[in-house]
Amino acid sequence: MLHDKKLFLKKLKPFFNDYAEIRGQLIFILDRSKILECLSFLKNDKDLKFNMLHDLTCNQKVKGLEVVYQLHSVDNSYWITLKSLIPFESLVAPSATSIFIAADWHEREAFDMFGIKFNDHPDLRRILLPDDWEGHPLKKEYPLGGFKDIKPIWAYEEAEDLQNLPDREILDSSIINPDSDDKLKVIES
Amino acid sequence: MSDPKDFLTTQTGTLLEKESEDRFWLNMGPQHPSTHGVFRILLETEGEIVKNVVPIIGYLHRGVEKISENREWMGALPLTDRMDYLGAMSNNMALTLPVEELMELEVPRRAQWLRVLALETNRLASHLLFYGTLGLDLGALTPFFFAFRQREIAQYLLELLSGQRITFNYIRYGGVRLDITTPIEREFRKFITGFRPAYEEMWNLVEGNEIFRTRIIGVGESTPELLIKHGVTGPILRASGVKRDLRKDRPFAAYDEFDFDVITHDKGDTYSRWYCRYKEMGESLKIIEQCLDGMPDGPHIKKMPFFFKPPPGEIYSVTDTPRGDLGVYIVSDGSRFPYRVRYRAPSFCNLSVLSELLYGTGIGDVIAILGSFDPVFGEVDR
Repeated sequence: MLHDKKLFLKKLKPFFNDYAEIRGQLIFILDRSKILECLSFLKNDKDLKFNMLHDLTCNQKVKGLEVVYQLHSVDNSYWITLKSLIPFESLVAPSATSIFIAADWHEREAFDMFGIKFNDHPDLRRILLPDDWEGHPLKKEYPLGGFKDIKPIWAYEEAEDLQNLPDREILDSSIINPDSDDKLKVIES
Repeated sequence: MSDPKDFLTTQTGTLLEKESEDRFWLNMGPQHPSTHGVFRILLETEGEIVKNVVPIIGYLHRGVEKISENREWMGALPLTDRMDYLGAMSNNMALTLPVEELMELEVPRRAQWLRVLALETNRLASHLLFYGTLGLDLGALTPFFFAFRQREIAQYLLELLSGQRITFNYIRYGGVRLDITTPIEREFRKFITGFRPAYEEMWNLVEGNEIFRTRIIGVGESTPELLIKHGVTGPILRASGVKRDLRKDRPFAAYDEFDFDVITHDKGDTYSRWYCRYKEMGESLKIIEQCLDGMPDGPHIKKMPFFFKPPPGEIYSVTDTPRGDLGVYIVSDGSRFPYRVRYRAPSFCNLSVLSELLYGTGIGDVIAILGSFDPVFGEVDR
């Protein structure tokens, strides 16, 4: 039993715009402004008691990034998914760290991989990649090999080649522009 | 166990008065042998006492999620072996489960049982490694040899079953890759009879040892509230008295058909974590035995094409691994490639509690606590 559909729909009525049920999992879609309100309601409600933020991640859509929250109630063993679309024009989401401290590292990872900013996060730095890394790898416009054309050292056969190593620069800035990239896959929610 | 703060006043009482000048940063790792991998941790210490902790991860980041998006679904499966390389079977399971759910595949019953057999043998091998390395961290070399003598056989059994020692790639979409044969079954039974006395021996070797007990009892105590707040799961959460096991609460594979207990301990210290993992080995053995006795007939895999297209949709599924809950969030756009694969690694979440748990402990206890968390850095950094 992953959830109690009737109870959830009744309790969450003021928060969500839409909901979906895929293979027995309930997914609620909310506005960005209501995320924190909804999270703290789910945590403090006596019947639901969603006391664990199980996962927080991002998913790229056509118009923006979707922040996905997976909440879990240890006492009732309920599971619920919340989603909110953050448009590309203002990639700022509210930080959930004030409600769930577990969001700290997950939000840092989302920032690292997608470049999404979390307001009021205590320490928003990259977590898995080095601090001077350029770009955010899990965005669809980021190529698999990275932006830089750097061959490994054994790929330079001649000694002269080693004298003329390419500069560490982004080769073509047009790759970063999402509009020019036809590889961007489209998915409707 | 005396309070570490008293220790500071009696041993270095004069230093305590000018505490602001006496603090310094100690860098541990990323090449430190006690961190079980490439983990770097900055400790601000005052004498022996840790006052500030900054964990630094990412030295083993290989971009598993990004690579998965650029391969077919079948190509994403071997990558999961490389995450938690001590419990690779459970990682295979974690990715196959949501894909099967999304495609509404019906997996043959024999395949489900073979999965349980493989998962539990792997769990046994993983916990045996924990048993050995915790001893090593505390300076005891003997438990390591006792554990590895058995672990070697467990690895050999998994090799017979799957053809690989570490990166199994055994659990596939629709079933398992190879069926079990009678000679392999005989080897499993031989292992069980041999393991029973060795298991008792391992308890007697360590549990009554005065030094071992002093090093781990009362060290790194945690409350369920703290652990749940940080999203810590698995044996660490069970060691603080929370009876929660996804094999019971949200059964996958064929776990609902097996009879086993969820091991809990109430104190939440390093000893409890050791106790829970040790006792879980016995439960795993019970499940393996039930598996061999009642293995149903039928096909071991539902034939699947190499390239397939799951319907568009998204699923978040969670499985129990030797380290905790491994959540996998998949998004499919109906093409041959995954649109998004996200792994919620248990070790990643477990480590995030360190900065709170290590505060106020001695430097020697940092090693014991970290060892009892049993992190795997292939999984933390992905």
